[in-house]
Amino acid sequence: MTKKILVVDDDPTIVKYLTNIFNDNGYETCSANEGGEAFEVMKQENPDLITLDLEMPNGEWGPKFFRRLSKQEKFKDIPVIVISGLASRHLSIDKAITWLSKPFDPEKLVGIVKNTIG
Amino acid sequence: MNLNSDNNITDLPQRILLVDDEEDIRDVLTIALEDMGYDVTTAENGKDALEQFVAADFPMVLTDIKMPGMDGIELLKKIKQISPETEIIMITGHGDMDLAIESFRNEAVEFITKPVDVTTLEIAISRAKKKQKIRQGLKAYTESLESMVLEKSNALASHPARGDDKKEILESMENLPLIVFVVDRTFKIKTGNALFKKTFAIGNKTLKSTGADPESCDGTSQINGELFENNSEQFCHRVCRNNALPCPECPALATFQDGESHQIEVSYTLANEEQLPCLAWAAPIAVDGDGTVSEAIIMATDIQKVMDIKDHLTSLGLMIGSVSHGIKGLLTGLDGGVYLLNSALKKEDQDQAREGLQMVQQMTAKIKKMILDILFYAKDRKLQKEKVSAKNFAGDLLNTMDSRAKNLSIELKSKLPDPDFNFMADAGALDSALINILDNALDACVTDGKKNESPKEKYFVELSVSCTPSKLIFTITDNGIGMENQDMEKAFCLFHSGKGKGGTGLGLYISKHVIDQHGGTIKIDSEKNKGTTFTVTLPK
Repeated sequence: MTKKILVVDDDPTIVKYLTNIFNDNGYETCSANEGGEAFEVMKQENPDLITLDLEMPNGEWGPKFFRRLSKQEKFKDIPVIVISGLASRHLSIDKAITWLSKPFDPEKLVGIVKNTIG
Repeated sequence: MNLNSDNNITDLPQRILLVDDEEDIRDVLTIALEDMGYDVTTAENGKDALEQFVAADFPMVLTDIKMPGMDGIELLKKIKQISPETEIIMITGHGDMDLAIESFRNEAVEFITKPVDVTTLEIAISRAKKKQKIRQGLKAYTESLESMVLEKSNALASHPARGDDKKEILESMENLPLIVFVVDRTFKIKTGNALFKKTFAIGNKTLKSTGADPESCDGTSQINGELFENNSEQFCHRVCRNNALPCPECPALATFQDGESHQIEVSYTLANEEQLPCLAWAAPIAVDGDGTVSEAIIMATDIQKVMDIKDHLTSLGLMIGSVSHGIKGLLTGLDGGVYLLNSALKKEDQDQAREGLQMVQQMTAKIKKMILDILFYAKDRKLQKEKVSAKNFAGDLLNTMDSRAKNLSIELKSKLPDPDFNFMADAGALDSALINILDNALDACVTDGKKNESPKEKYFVELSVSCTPSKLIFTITDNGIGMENQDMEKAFCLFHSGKGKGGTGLGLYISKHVIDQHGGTIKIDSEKNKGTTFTVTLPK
């Protein structure tokens, strides 16, 4: 079965970029532009992996998203890749499987995704 | 002995009070701080924090700026009042520029931006600790200095020739580039030097100059007879700050109480209502036989320039953070466009290729604009005014905006003046100021994702130019998303962006700056979901 990736980023250009990378590599995609919406999408789409931007509007930023995610039995084990423009590694993202800094290398990203969900 | 006490200072597990309304941040930061070896106490709001602080004085406080109820700045002020030695580190979000500057003015030592990362936190704390050490050393030094001064002034008080000494002191201060004045225990001004009189616009009519008859001095409370000629009583709180009653934070008040010297940062009110930030010291100058201070000398120095430099440095620091972050986002977007284009060429997908190309163009334009904004900000150039034709100027603006508007399928309308007229302006600077506003208007019509929810008639941006005999008026109207009240208030602030990561927060700041330089005004009217109108009025 085709694996599905949820892209969470409030910048539509980057959502487009990421979904294109994943589609070209044979993955299905869905997207959300902030943390709250991400949970709605998650319920409907049941993604196998999430890419997450840390800074998002409405206070729904990375750490909060993680906190909510870890409380949801159904979703708490979904692997998360943080893709962020922050200068250095963020405190709360130890829970993420990896951390990529913007601008990132698409091949490296695809490599990580393949290793994680096949 | 010394070595031991030094060791004690460093070995003590430092206590930190951590204040943030978000539980996640408290959790994460507590773990990080404990890993660094700190003893952490947390509070979830300003009120709670203050209670904890009063109960158990903390050497260091780490607080969020934005909190419901008592915010970080309020807390900072209150803590500094209780314990000036406590070092306070502020946690700010992106775009909290004003708050960050205000917290510096209130002596916050460091600020770190959200989301907080460990390295920055460690650096900020170590800097705060260093500052604390310097402060402690300085305090010990001033204390010994103060006791010396007190000794000398006591000697002076018991010395029979003190009237002459004081006269000498005051004469030598007459032309100092410091505001110097003397008040008695009721805060009545006994005398002031030249700069004092000049600053508070006190003419010779009200205050006699130095050199009056020294014999009139009664020996204890008056100094060299420099009295107000008409006997009208002038109080320093009235003259310097326009307050009816003595100011509670007055350093002289503290001096009268404990006989020691005191220092504060204070804002004086000038005759024209303008505020002058000053650093003021008060010290005892006349002491009665029983040791009560009967008069205090206050010396103040204008620190406006220091404040400006401080603000500028703060803003530069924030700018580097904000800009490097913005550029990363744009570069990623550019990568995205190139990727789309490449993958489209492989698949021979015309539509995707067009989309990719558009993305590249869009990002390149944004990067270009950002760089120009930064250059503009970094280099404050002087205006070069020339005669400009209103029609040509507006026409050029419309040409510049045309392709972007077409790309976004937004109608670009205009109302140009007929007949044409000329005005004096720096066309280059004004052009960039208005382009920033027009660009914002276009952005307001393409807020991504949300526009499809309420499909309305076509989006438009209209530029109109008109004039009165003395003024020139540009209005830029759009029927886009409109602005929230809070965004409207802060629209022209440096690094405030209503567009989240989409903006650098430089654009409208620059617009306002250029318009101010031209002696003009800029005004926003906006209604959420209806649209926004910017009105720029310039002198002709």
